[in-house]
Amino acid sequence: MESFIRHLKHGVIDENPTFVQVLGMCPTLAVTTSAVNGLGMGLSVLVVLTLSNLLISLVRKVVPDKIRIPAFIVIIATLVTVIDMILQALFYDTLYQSLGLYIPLIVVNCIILGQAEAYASKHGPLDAAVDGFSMGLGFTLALTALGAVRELLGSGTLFGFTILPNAFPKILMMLMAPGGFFVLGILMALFNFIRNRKDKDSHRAESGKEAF
Amino acid sequence: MPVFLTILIGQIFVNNFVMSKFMGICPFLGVSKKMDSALGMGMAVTFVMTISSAFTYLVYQYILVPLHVQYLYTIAFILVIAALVQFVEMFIRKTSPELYASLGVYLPLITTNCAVLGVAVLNMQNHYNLVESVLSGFAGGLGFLMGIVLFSGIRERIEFNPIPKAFQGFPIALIAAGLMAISFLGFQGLI
Amino acid sequence: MSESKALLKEDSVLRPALILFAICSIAGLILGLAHMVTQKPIESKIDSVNKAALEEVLPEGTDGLKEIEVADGANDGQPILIDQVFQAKGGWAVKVTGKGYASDPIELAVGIDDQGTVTGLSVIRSSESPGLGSHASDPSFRQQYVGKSADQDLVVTKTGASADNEIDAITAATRTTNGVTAAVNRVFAYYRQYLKEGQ
Repeated sequence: MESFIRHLKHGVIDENPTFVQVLGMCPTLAVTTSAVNGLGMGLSVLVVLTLSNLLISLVRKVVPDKIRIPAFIVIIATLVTVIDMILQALFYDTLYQSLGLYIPLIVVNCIILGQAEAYASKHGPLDAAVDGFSMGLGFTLALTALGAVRELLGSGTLFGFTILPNAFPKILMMLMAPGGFFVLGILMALFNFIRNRKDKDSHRAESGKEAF
Repeated sequence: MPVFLTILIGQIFVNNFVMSKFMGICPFLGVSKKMDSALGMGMAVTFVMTISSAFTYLVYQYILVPLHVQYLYTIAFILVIAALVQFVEMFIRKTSPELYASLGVYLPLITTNCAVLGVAVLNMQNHYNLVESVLSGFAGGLGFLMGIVLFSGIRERIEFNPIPKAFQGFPIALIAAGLMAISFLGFQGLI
Repeated sequence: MSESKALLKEDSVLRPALILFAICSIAGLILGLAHMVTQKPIESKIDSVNKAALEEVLPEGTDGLKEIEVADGANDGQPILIDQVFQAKGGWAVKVTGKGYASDPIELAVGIDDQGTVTGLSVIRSSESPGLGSHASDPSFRQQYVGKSADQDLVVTKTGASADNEIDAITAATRTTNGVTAAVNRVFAYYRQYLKEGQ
């Protein structure tokens, strides 16, 4: 249990795939024009990442080094295609349309192949799945936050519910490409700022103890 | 406007892969600190996008469609791209060591560049024929090349400025990219 | 027996190839199965979405609705590019696709009565950006097309529609508006050439 929490903290805060590792930027910027889209993309990646880590860890001893990358890619692409079909069957008229082209592109999301290479191919199935899950969770939270900020500023709504009164000016730029870059840049700076402060605080606390 | 010109201008300026479709952002942010490496990466991507557009078109039209397994397109395209990248890498290493020295390091990274898979899927969705697909891949690559080279010029200069600690590194680069994307919005009315 | 063992030996060149082939085969098998399982639900989902759209654009309902063939030649040469035409009581519903901002096309259903007046416009499928082009699905935008006459092509304006054939562009989504309007104009062209009485 404790190690599970440590894994989660690792994926969500210390090694957050979006804010710290800066991976998987295409979907991060492209689909986060609303909180729901960010959440949908995040959850799709979470499922693919958990399962791909699990499967890759299971076959890691059978697959020779030479064909490692193509074998991983086949496994990941298979999972993505299945997710694509499920999304189409369940959410054809909503989420499937707004994610569009970016669903097949989950295959080339660097987080997934990066995790496969760096973690899943070296650890046991359970560890790999938990690590994939926590990375996926970090990604989902980051995308949802990004989508929420852009939706709130650009459309005045949050998860589709009107939050800001109509009189409040909507910043349409937030929904366009430049807004994606701006909001991500500012959120990332905020993330850095809070983390730096925390590090400093704990540092200070420690040095304080030493002084006593 | 002739369809070729529409594709060319559309892919380079209006629907620029990096600036309006957000594809290929990882190398765009990762390999843009120096202009030399940005140029190398951009050229390698253009090269692979052009060739892979042709191959994915052929695989789709002459293998997937006749067998009625179009739903396998994701897996087929990514395998074609991965194999192609490997092949191109071997070919360049054997034939032109100089070219390999400048492009070689970037080639393995291209497999996971969304722009390459993205252009293949777009060609399929837009029902482009062989010539149009190749052109669209080439123009998309040129758009990427232009974006990353311009951006590396900006980033080289950012280095010399005093930037708040929290903004150093990626955050300020993203904001610079946002400003660049605003200027690309100006191309919207072209087609 | 001994041969197959030799093939699977660690140092054999064929071993990686065989393993990769096995992984691909399993992947293909899984995808084939997934396709078989999800094909029916996907089709029925698409059907129901399409049907709802047609119902929305045809004021007299979809009773006795039947698909008629797109006229020969309409999609050749200087193509009008129509996807499907349905005949209903007192009019037609035409399915057509427009090109907006997103890479995926916008699928529309346009209802048109036997006087050549638009009875409704419905967005079946669109990947336009939420908050921008997605406003094309808002009733207030679609309502602009209702009552327009097929005799005259529509034009998009950014300065407030004043003439009969003008459509107000969606703020910051002119390309979406253009795409939808161009698609409706193609329906008009098809109507004038093939559906108008006596044709």
